[in-house]
Amino acid sequence: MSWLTWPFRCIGFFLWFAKEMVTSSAAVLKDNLTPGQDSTPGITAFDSQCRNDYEITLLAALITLTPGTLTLGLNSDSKVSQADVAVSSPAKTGPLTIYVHGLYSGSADATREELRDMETRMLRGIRREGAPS
Amino acid sequence: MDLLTIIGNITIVIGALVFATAALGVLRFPDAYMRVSAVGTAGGVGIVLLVAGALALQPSIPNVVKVVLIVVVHLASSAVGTMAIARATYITRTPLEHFEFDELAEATPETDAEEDELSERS
Repeated sequence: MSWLTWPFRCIGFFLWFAKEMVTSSAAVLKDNLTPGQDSTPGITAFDSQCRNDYEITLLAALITLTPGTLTLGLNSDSKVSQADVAVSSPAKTGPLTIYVHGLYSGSADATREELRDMETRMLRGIRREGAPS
Repeated sequence: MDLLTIIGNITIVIGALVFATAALGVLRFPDAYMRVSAVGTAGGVGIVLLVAGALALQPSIPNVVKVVLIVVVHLASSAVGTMAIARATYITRTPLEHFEFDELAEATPETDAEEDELSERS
């Protein structure tokens, strides 16, 4: 069954991301064109639920593409190789942590919430079996 | 002038304005990280508006293929390039302006391996 809904989930995520890019661009442009700064910049550590290099690369790229959020780096201590993923569960290898510079969230927890929402939508779109529970 | 020409021209002008605003952002935003975000609006929405406008002016199937290729390849490469610049910015210890929190600094030990790496290379 999951094969049938996969293309639709993929397209759904693509449309959601296009909308997200437009709204966040509008936020940055508005801050840019109005006098003063209303940003609250900060760097957030985000433990992702991604299982392999492909997923974490895509997530980091999508975060960077959304204006206002910017991926600064990936914690290489918990880096998993493709071979490890096949034999072990994510719990054994630990989460892949990415560091994100956010402009308008206000706090690290708020940024994490937004990133978690985006990540869940992304994984629902690209994984055949759907989002992690 | 048909409708498609008008739509195309309007889209291109809006795209060019997004680029101009992004250039203004580079001057106005206080630190390197925020400037990267300001340019990100041009690299994302700006380029899509420009090539979509060009497509509306000269609509054809080969042009649709070209526009899709431009958008996909551009977004993929600009994301990777942006991350490389952002990472280099942080490693060279470019200061953040009036930031509220920095969890990367907490995770980075004081004796910095990255700095050693940089000095070794130079």
